[in-house]
Amino acid sequence: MEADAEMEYITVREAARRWNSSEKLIRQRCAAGLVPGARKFGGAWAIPDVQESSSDETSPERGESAGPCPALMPLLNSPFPPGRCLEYIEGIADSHIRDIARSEYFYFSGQPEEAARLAELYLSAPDPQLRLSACLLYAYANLSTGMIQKARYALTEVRSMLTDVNADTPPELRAAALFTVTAAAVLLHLPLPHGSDEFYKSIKLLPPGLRLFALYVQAHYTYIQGDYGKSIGILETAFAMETEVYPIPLLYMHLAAVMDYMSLKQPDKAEEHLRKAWHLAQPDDLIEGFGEHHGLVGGMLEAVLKKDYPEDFKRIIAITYRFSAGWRKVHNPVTGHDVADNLTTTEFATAMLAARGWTNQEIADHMGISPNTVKQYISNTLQKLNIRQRKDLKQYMLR
Amino acid sequence: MAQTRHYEIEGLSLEIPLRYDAHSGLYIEEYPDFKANPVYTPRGSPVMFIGEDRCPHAQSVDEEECQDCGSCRFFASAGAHSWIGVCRHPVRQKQGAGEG
Repeated sequence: MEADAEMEYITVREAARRWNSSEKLIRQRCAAGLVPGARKFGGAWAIPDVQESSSDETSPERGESAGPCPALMPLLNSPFPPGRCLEYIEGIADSHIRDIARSEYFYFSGQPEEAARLAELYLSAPDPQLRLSACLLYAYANLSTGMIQKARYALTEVRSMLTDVNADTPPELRAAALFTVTAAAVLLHLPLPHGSDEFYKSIKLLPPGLRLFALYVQAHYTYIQGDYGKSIGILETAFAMETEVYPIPLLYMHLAAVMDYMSLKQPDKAEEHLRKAWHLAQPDDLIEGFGEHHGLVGGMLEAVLKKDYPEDFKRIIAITYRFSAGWRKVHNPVTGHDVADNLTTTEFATAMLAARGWTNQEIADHMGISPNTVKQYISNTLQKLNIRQRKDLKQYMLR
Repeated sequence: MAQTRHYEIEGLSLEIPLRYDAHSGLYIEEYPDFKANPVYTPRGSPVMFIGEDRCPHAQSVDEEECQDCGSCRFFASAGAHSWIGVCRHPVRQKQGAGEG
């Protein structure tokens, strides 16, 4: 491989001196792809001789997200202007990173087949960041296509990458592995393979966009524990501190805020966040997240999107059915949580609200339908689940 | 001919339509709006849907909050496999009303 003729390089020894680190750690970071532009000539690494401030970004001594982890979910980690997502992707210089970003785009825009096809190419990539990204995308995309064995395989691969890390693994790479494993587990409502504290402490080592998504994951985990106030506190604090717009993490954070506010019975605030999420998603058609969260947002999609965006709403509902079918198949039966199979999305939405103590009138007002229509949905739900009281709905609803 | 399920509730005969639900593959009972159009037994007890919102007179059958007719101690189910019944609260009884 030829070095860039105009680029000057330094040795690992020189980099270790400048960054106040060890040569062994520098070599590990180069091998992990965490040093941008680093190249290997024979057995020796050559590191671009960048400015001091840039080298600080790759210094492992910074407490903040260092090394960019450029190949870990690059689209998720991108502050692309809404409406210019595809333009951003095509501008990525590295072809492998561009492929991962394309796979992300296909996934987040509700095209799981294409997402899986691209991600599959990198399931065995030497670069661990590419591999982590590919496994996460492959797992979720195959949930949506019903290829459950493939989804399970990818989830197993992600977990094995976490168990492979050791004391010599660069901290950013460990954080990346923790991020991927935790996101996969939490969003499927599966048990964490590690303590949640470990994940929380590692968030600061992630790059900015992934840090936001990690906060979404943390808030979602807290929501599952039933601590809606704490969950919304995490999110509102993150919103207050954002200095750049990372559309995909932000729209997921807004969707989690909808979940929290609906659980706290504050539909006005929930609607605000739903509209913000839509404002971020619509310019690039990033609708997958809405389908994923349909069951958790308490009829808010029906209340806000159905009338004004009927075609988009239909597509979102199609995503909901597809994703939830795969989600149920892979769901860990050890948790003992059953999720209703036979309910339509609207029946499920009304049931979620009823399970949380909303009256038929309140549900009707929220969803813009008559109380008698609500009662029909509740009646259908009770009969399909063969239960006699609304309070018994809880065991069938999503946590 | 539409399918129905026949109920005999304290002398009141009711035919409840059944609708085939393609999503679940089940036949679902479709109840009229008993709140908007009350139906009474010969004894004067109103027929209620189990999932109707609780009224101000409701009392829970257990320590949990009473949310609906189904969790109220004054509700008497029309049968083990039914989602309707009658309300026995004295305030809600109607003297001599009912449909045969």
